[in-house]
Amino acid sequence: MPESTLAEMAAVRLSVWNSRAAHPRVVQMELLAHQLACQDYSVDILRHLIDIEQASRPCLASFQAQPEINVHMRTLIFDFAMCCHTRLGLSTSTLYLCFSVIDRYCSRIVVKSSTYQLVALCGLWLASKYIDRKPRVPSLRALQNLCCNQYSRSQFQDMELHILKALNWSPCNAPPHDVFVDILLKNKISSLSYKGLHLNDLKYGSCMLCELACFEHVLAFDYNASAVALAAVTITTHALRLSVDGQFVHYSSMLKDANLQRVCDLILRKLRSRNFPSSFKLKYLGQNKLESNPILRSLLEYELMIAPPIPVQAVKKPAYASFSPSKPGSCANVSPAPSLGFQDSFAGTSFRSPRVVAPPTPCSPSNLSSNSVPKVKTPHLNLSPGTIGSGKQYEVSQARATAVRPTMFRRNESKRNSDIMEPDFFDMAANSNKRAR
Amino acid sequence: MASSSQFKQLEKLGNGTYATVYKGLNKTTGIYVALKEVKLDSEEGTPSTAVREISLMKELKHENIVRLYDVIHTENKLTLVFEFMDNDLKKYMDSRIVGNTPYGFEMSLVKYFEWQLLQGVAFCHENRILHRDLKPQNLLINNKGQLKLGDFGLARAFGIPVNTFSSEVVTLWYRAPDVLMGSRTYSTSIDIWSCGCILAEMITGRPLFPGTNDEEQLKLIFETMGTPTERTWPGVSTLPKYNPRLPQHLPKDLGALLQSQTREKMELTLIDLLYGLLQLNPDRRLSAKQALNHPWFAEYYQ
Repeated sequence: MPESTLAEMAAVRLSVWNSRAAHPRVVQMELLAHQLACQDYSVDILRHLIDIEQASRPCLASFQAQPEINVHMRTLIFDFAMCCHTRLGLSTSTLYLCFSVIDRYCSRIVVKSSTYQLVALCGLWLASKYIDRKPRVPSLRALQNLCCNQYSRSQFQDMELHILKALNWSPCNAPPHDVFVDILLKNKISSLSYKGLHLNDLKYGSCMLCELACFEHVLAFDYNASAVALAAVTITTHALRLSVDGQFVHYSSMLKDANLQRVCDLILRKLRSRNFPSSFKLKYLGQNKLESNPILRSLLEYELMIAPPIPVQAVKKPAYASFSPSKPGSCANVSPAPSLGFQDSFAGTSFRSPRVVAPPTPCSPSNLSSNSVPKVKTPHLNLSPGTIGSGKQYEVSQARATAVRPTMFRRNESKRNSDIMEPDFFDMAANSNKRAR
Repeated sequence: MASSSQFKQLEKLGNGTYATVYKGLNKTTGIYVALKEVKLDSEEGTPSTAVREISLMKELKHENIVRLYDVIHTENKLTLVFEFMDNDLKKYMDSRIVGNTPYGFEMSLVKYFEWQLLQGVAFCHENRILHRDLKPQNLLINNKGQLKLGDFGLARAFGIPVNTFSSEVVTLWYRAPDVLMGSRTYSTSIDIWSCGCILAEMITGRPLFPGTNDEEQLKLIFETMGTPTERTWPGVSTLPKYNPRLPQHLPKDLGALLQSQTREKMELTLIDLLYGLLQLNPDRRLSAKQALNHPWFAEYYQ
């Protein structure tokens, strides 16, 4: 039989298998099998994850000591990395791991502003090699294209090895946020408060908040991924609750730990600012308005319930309110933009027609258009587009943010008690008698 | 940080999944090591297998898992410095073939090896890592009778609860039926099936299911374990590569089958453990932890 026919037949077989593998019943069955198998190990795994999380923290003081790069550039670089991640269609975990690799590398090695972008791409490369399936891992060619060939092949290879060495050959030992989100959701799924809420919506919203949190350096450096994940899950649960049956519960009623409340507060403040990175908008909104994403809309509504807007005239404009990092490259603090090549790379990758890539199946919202979509029922929430995007609103939020801005949390002070995430989050009963044969 | 000049390269030990392994001598300490050389690809930089193996093995420190001491980077290759082990289980079993007849191990040794194997696997799973390539070649042993898991080139971390992996893992003979039928979200149960196959092989000295391709592999498994049906394994017919025209076999008596190939008397508890590890339905397979608590191992945990 000719070679080409064989190849064709193999391709047909593969596509048949793929379509069969996507059958909802198979997916359901496999999911169940996996959950059963993990049950035995859930407590051990969580303990292990918390251990390696402690060992893989970035250091804010070192980052702040960097002569050429700063937190504003960090925002832009993260924005760039997230755009690349979305365009390459990589796994959810890859992004968190990539962010962690970048921050940890910058906590150890002095990074020039001109190589910060290379660090980001190599971080993405390594994270993808660790997490994604082989065919998904971007090629060197693709990475070069993403930065408009700013860096040579050997620069990529050298930087990759340098990151590996700088992070003591274990760059990938930081647990990504979504792992904790999964664990938290799995263990709460049976509880009654989840009635009427969709697991996928919860995961989608939580991951969205975790991603936003990564952009906030205070959250990224001072708090553990598990704490951020717990806060994100809590907020998302309450927000969807509010949208589904109008029941408002303040997050502090669920989280007694002051540090976790602080994390919730910081996340909500990020939401309040409406100052989302462009990559975040690309991923979740495409070219639509904020409210077009029902999960994001629910989160914003919840945020409004937590802190209703106060009249604009009552607030004095803070000194730094003019800083608006919503557009890459427009930030005043980023010294010579051309050296970073942002404009180039963004233009080169043609974001004019964004292809919105939802995260892998389990995280995408279930039936976005069907009746599971939380409807805006309460008119007093007043989420009209006019008030949200306006500059005045923005000033207000900035001012409010300064008013309650805490003194900088230091790592050791804010160190989260790891007991919080431990066994009480697990359905201990379910652990004991699995597969009793 | 070690440098390459610290090690003297000795004879070649073999070819791994993506690298060549040499025996080495640490000139400063006089201790033997295994040096695994990984070529750096000019296209793709550090191979993803190396990224995973290094990251995972750095994490795993257990007496039944081969230790990764260090990584050395020289020009266009990486050298992974591993703990040296005298032998692997495959070579050790081969050395016991007399004429053309394979012989299994003494039952006490089978038990000791299987116990250590399951200890190592349980540790991996607790650390949310799947080995995915358990086979006698990858189980290293030393003169003290210690057994350690090696070659994590195909291993990866798994999430709770969802993750989709490729179905091309685990050397054919030790590949679980759910994986053979195209299940892609398999989990810890994939390593357990391999542990079952290896246990049977240690008893008889012969591989349990030595298939040459996917179809034959499934055929061999079903001939012995019985063809699964919707009743014995709910959902089996929805697996991507399920073939409804498979000949229907009834399960054979695994105990009698293995007993006929060994002179040692097989205990009933051992046969029960084999059935626990070799359940066709992955949901019903024992976990490594459960297997370690099996009555057959009573002498170790009592």
